[in-house]
Amino acid sequence: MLILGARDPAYREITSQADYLGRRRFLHLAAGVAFAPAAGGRFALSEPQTAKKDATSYNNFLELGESKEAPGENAHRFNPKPWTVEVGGEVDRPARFDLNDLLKAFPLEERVYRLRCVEAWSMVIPWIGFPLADLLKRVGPTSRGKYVEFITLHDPARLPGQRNPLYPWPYREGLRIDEAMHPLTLLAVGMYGETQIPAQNGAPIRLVVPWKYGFKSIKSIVSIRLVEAPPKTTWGMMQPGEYGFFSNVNPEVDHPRWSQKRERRIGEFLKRETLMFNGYADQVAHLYAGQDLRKDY
Amino acid sequence: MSVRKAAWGLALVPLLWLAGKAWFFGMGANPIEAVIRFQGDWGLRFLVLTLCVTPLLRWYPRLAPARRTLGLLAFFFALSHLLLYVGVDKFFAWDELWRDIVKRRYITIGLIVFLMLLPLAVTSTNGWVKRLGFVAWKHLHLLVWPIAFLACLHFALMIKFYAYGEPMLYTGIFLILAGLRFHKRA
Repeated sequence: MLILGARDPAYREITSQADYLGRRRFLHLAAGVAFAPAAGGRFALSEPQTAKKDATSYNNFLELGESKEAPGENAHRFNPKPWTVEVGGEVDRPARFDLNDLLKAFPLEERVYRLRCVEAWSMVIPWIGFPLADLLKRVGPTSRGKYVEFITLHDPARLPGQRNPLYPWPYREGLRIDEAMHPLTLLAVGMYGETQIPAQNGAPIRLVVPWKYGFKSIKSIVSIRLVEAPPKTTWGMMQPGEYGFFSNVNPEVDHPRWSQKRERRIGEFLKRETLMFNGYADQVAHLYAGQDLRKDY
Repeated sequence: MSVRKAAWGLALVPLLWLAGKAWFFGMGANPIEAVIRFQGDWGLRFLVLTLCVTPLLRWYPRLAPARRTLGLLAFFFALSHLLLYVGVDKFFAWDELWRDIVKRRYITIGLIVFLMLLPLAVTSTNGWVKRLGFVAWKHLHLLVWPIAFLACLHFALMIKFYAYGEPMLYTGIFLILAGLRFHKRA
């Protein structure tokens, strides 16, 4: 039968995200792990979220394979339990946290963030986690803690991509302390309404820094250390001319091999204009006042 | 079935493969990128097949007509690779395309490869062999060798530095084929 006038539902007819997530929140309360949904809050985003299927099948996670599909296909090889995170370096109270304790220690909240890959594609992902600042305050950075160094688990048995001798494993990343303490900077322990991250997305705990290219948001973290000098980063060690320490999303500064002006939002046909600081300029531009972003790429 | 028709039929292999993959598994999260790369891959593969014909002629002289057809298929896959990049990836944003061509080495080289393929595709008919004279035509078609190596370079410069395996494999195949083709003259 031909249905004339068939159309997508009007916006007002769609179940509000608050109601939708409210249901999930209820389920999670029932399950014993609660998080505050992003709906309507500071960290809501009006742009449509990327389909979960796409966000979990199109990944860069070399530890689980080199293609975009491989990490999802190899996800079953990686069991992230049990898991501990070491937090130390220039801090007053170094500590070793069991993941389960971390989940209870800090209130979890949902953050819907744009994710912009340096390869000029992007997604919108609802994360669940807590601000990195919460954890850092708990251990008390000293005045010598000017940078934060993050390291991924090194275990070639569980992360078979680490057998590839071309890379200096384990993966490492870093932030300046003001970037690390910024309220947008999240330690994610869940996504799409579940307090659990699929292996290919960086189980069980990963960084999310939404105004920087995706490779800065290191996955499967086992070590967080406060340090005095800028820490070495994996891509910075391998191709320093292409991947700088800051790697802020910036449409005006091209990657040496391709333009960063536009991006393909996964699920969309036409490309979008890339936004300065990935659309978070109001919140983070002040961190870089006085810096030449062409030099500090 | 004539050799030439069989060679045309080979085009169905990637096309059916693509259709089957799209139908049964979907094209993944970034279908545009997947299809563009697929067309580029098969352009290169048909170029390999084209260059395999000459060494085989010693044992299978009947294959000769397949060479031109396979060359044309390489051209058609390169053409659709280029058209998808211009029309779908860049959506005819000419200013951006121009900047890409000037600034991005792999795009510059890709375009050069295509411009070199163009005269070979145009002069693939018997009429053109006569018009140019066989010797000149043959010399013109030696362009296929720089095309093959530049296509590998285009491939290698596009990808991340660690994934050079595939372009190096093609480069190796072309080197072997070039050796087979030219060793007698040396």
